[in-house]
Amino acid sequence: MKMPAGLDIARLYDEHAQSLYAFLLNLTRDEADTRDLLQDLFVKLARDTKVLSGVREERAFLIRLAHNAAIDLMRRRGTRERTRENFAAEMASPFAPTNDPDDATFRQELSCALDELPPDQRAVAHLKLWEGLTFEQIATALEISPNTAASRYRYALDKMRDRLRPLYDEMKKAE
Amino acid sequence: MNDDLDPFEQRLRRQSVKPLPAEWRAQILAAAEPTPPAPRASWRAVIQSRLSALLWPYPKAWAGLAGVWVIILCLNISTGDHSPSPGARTSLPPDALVQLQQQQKLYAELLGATAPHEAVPAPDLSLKPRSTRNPVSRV
Repeated sequence: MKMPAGLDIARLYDEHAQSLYAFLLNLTRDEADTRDLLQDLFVKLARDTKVLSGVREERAFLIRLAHNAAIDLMRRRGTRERTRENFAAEMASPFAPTNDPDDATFRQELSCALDELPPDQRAVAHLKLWEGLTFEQIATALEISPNTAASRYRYALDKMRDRLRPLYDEMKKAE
Repeated sequence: MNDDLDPFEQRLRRQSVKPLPAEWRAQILAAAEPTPPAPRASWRAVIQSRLSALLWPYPKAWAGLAGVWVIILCLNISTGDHSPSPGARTSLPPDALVQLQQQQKLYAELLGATAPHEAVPAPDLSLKPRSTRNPVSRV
């Protein structure tokens, strides 16, 4: 694919799209919205070829762009989001389907637990757990302090632990 | 990396996230691909396309109008207009021309009569001292 000099969109997509997709899906809980946001992000990158010049950590920068876009979207659809809270079962899960019934149950509960978190805590929890970023990297990506990132993660983890404790304990006993 | 995670966190981390739909790649990259600039058309092609756009709705009517203009032009040329030129037609008749020449002559004479006379030279008083001047002239 012929792209502007200095910016290979295909390479960016291959290297970062999976992470951005999972992150955006966890925030929006909507496949169509996630696709729109992802496409908008890459279209912007293709149009503004200098946007990545001088950026040391592409992943963190792209996560920041994706996070800002997702927050904007969630603000715009605020009323729609509130009505959707009653239909949590219809929300897209950020986790892959599995044939193991215990894992499937755990993922479903985990998805619901994440959905109950405020978006700020959910974003930090996602980046820490499924992107493996450090608090410093999360802080850079989300433009917050490392302490804020750490505290948001702790709050999120406590809430998820409370929510999943019965199921988690049961699964541990079974193991 | 997992060293600082407790068993619960490790359990969470093991839950794999949903894979990115493979079909999105081509769609998103196609959307992100910049549209190539349109090739620059030659002036002849531009004129042709504009003319065709203008004449396209009623080509027979435009052709008929053009034919009428050609006929009018041919008739104009064949009749041959030999009338004198506009400049010749506006020239003065001979008697008026004579009268104009007389007026010009009179005007020239008037100008000569009112022309300024030669200045009278002033007496040269500076050459002689006052005592040597003509006594008659003293009063």
